[in-house]
Amino acid sequence: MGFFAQTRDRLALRSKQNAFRKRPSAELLGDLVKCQLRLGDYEAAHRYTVWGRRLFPDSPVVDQMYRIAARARAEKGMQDARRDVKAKPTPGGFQRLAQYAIEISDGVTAMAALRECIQRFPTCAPAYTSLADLCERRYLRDLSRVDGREVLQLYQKACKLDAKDQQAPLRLAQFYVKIGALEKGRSTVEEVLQRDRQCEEAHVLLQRIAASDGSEDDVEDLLRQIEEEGRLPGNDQDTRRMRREVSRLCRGLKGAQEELGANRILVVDADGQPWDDQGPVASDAFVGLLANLSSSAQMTTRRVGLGPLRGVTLESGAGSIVVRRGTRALVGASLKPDESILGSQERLSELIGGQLAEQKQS
Amino acid sequence: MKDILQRLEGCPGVRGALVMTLDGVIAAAIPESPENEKVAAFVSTVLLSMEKDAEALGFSSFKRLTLWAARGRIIVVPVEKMVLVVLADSSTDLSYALMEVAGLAKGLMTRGRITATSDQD
Repeated sequence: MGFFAQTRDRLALRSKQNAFRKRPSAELLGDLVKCQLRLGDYEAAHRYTVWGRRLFPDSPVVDQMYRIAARARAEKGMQDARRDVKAKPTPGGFQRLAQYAIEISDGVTAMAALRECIQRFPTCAPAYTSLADLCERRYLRDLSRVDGREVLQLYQKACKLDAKDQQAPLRLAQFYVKIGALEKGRSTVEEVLQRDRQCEEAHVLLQRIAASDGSEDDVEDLLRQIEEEGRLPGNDQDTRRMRREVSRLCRGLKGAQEELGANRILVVDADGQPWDDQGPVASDAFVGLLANLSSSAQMTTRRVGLGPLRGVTLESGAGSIVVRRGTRALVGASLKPDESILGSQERLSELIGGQLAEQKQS
Repeated sequence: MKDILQRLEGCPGVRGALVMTLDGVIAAAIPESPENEKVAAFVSTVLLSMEKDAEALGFSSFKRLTLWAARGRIIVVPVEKMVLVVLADSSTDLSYALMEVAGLAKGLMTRGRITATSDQD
């Protein structure tokens, strides 16, 4: 930006600020923030857009300016933090870098910064908590056992390093509850309550644990089970959701069978029960193949870093098998040898997504 | 065998490939990476998990197995007594390249060179 343009902006800034204060509007705010961004005052631009969002919650202009200002501020913050940790590495510098990286959804940089922080400052408890948070997000996305173990180790380490901190044990307890280790969750919350009887978050969590079912507390076993099933342990609500999904899928089975020219098509729910369009059916080798293939393939794609499994296609001279996973159930079809598998994954994906049933109904 | 696999290296959409025995022992891989062991072990688990039921349904001699995931796919093609495993993106059509590589690998194994190497190992 040229000197004259900058001077012009500097001179205009005050009048834009005054105009906005006198008669706040989304357009004036946009104009003011653009000027601040051109001058490199990202902090002020961000502050104004935060304020602006409260004043004009429905304005797309303000919303867009907020995103631009937040990104510019975070990128500048990352630059500054990188320079600081290069000149003098401190735990605060690394954590600032990670925080700004998280703001612009750069998880890789955030994780790298926190890992380096832990390596250089092995007693920095907040870095362990922040890294555990990031690993937990990844775990909830991929449900990989390795990530789950790391989340637990990091939270436990943070608790050990700072016995006064309440956040780390509460996050640890919440994670235990998420994976179904209720007893471990309960004892961790009770430890927090022993230190602070008034901790509201701990009381809420304790009530949630009391309302949940489950006795299994072998964490390793739970993580393995979650990885294999591709879902976190559920409650009654989850079972109801599974039934709804199964019944929706079953309604579209007939149509999908016709479109694919399939010999056989089934829905298998998360408990391994097979269903056709008439209701539950008995298990056989086909169901066994669908369930085994789906669970081992699910584990494989997660563990080799390809994320959750979407589907499996097995082609042979005797025909083909196409499996597509939904959230709480899977659909499997057996195609005749002369039927093309091209587009079969997409067809089943439409069935899972609900489009096929809707098309048929309409 | 590695030379044959290298034909896949430049293919658009291919992230890596390996040839392994059914129980997960790697014969050749591109690129060389410690991750290959993990891929081989898990693919072997998949093959073992479907063995019994697939046989009962007449699917034991499969032509291709594809695992579609959120961030790519794994394609498994049997080559004589081994399997070719390719890690690829979700969309690129690799049928021709896979056919060519599997054919060449099959030819090599039929001549007994791979078996001899594996036996020495």
